[in-house]
Amino acid sequence: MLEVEGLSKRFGGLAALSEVNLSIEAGEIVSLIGPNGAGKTTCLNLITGFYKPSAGRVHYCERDITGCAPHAIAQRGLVRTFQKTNVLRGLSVFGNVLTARYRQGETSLLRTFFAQGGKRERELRDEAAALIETVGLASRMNAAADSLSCGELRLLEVAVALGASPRLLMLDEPAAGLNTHEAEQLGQVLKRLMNTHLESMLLVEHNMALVMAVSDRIVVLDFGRKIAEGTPAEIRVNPAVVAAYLGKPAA
Amino acid sequence: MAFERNFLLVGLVLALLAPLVAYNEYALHIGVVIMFSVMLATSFNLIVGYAGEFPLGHTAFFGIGAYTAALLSMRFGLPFYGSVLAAAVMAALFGLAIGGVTLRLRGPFFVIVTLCFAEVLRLIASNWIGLTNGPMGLSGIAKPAWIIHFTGVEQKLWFYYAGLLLASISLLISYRFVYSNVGRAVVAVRENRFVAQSIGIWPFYLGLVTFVLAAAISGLAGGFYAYYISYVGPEVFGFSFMITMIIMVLAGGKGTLVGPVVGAVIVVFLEEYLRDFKDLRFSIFGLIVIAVVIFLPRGLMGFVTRRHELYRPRDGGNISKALSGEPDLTARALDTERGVLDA
Repeated sequence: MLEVEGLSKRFGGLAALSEVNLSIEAGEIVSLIGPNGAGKTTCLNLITGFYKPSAGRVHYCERDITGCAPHAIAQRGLVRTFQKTNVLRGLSVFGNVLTARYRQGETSLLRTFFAQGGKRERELRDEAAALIETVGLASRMNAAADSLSCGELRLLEVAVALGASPRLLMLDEPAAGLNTHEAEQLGQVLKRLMNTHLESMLLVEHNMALVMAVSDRIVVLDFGRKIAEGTPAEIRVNPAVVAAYLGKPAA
Repeated sequence: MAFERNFLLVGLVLALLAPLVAYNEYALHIGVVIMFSVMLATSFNLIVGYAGEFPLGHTAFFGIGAYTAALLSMRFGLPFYGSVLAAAVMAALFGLAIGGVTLRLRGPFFVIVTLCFAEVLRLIASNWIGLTNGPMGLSGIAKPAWIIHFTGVEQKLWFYYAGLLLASISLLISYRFVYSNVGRAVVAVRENRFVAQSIGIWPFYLGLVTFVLAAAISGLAGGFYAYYISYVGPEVFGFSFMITMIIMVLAGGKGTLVGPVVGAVIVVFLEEYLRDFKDLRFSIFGLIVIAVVIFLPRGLMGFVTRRHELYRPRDGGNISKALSGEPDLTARALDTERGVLDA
């Protein structure tokens, strides 16, 4: 579904990402982990068009999307969330998700001004309400987004991303700031979404419990390079990964 | 949404009936100025309040509209509604060109470059004597043929209702726009550009759509102004109209449709009542703006409309508990406090 070949990004003299290969098949949850500064978010930004790569190609559903604009990539069904929680803070929970249905609603300007869009608009509202129920925020439907707790905001962020009808969803540290219980619930929501709403998922995450619980495959980055790839069980015992996180044992 | 619609409809009825109680030239003149100000404020608010950018050169479109209507009327004898419509179209075309350049910039850069465009147009209007008659301006724009035989007060009444019609059209179009799917996307860009992009919204395109719409409404106001004053000079591009627009939108409440309308009415009345203070009234306006920004950052109507602005599902959000039956992640304490605002 997603093929990333030799993806590299330099910021001046700093190689944030070097020659990373990555693939995601339909039906898979792949996690991208690594110590701080390993290049995880950079990798996400490159795939979703927020950065332009210095080298390498990104293919999504047999199409080369390298260098496409972020909104164009999102319109094809590759949707991401952000590390620092990002929602439309001035709107309600419902307004956020309704807005996120933009591409599924009436986008023609002529019809916006001159036609009655009542039916489609009602469908959009029902779909948005259903998505909010899916992530478990139904009781907060009309709350202002900036009144939500950290955990609720993360769920809202997922609902907003779902609003754009993604096929491949990329989550950037969705469990940051959550306690163990909240992270577990988030994991359940994500797994459920794989059966109902999504084809694949890429998870960038530091919370190892969550990563181990949901991932089919894990890719490990360190200093902008891929140092390991495998199932959760393989990664747990991989010496390179242990060294990257804990340092090498003294000689 | 419903609140704004009802508020505007009540306003329309009141405006339709107003001449019954105030049928004299002075009162109708105030009424015409209000109609024209409502158009300008509505137009400026589309960009400031919804798209979230600050075009300090918004008078460019007002001036283009005024000159277009004046020239078409004087050179080609185009009738009132024809040239006013052409003024809107011409302003929209300029909006497309200027917006296409400036909307690639953001924040202070956008502010400065839009201001430059207005200033350039003012210089052209002052110096292209052959077309615009330079600083002397174009005077003697003919009133519509069918009102020439009217008495003074009847002419004012006609302009009042023509202005009311144009202002209503402007507000109707704005209403359809901001409460549409596309309008929501515009607000999404204002709220968070990155989130907007991540859900497939193209910020530049939606900014441009808003900019062109605002330019067209501004041009409409300009065309109307040219006919009413029957004179257009380079000062239509000047900063004083800009200041009026800013005060009206900020005082009334940006990001709501009723705010600029209320702001326009208040500012026009204040200008009249403060006339005795002569130049001092500008200082008073300045103080009002400072006070509004400090004490009412969302403007007079901002507080009233905010609780109505939040979108809600069809049945008012009474949807049963989450299908999953999972416990809420909520800290309920916050809930009740904020809930008052939203319920």
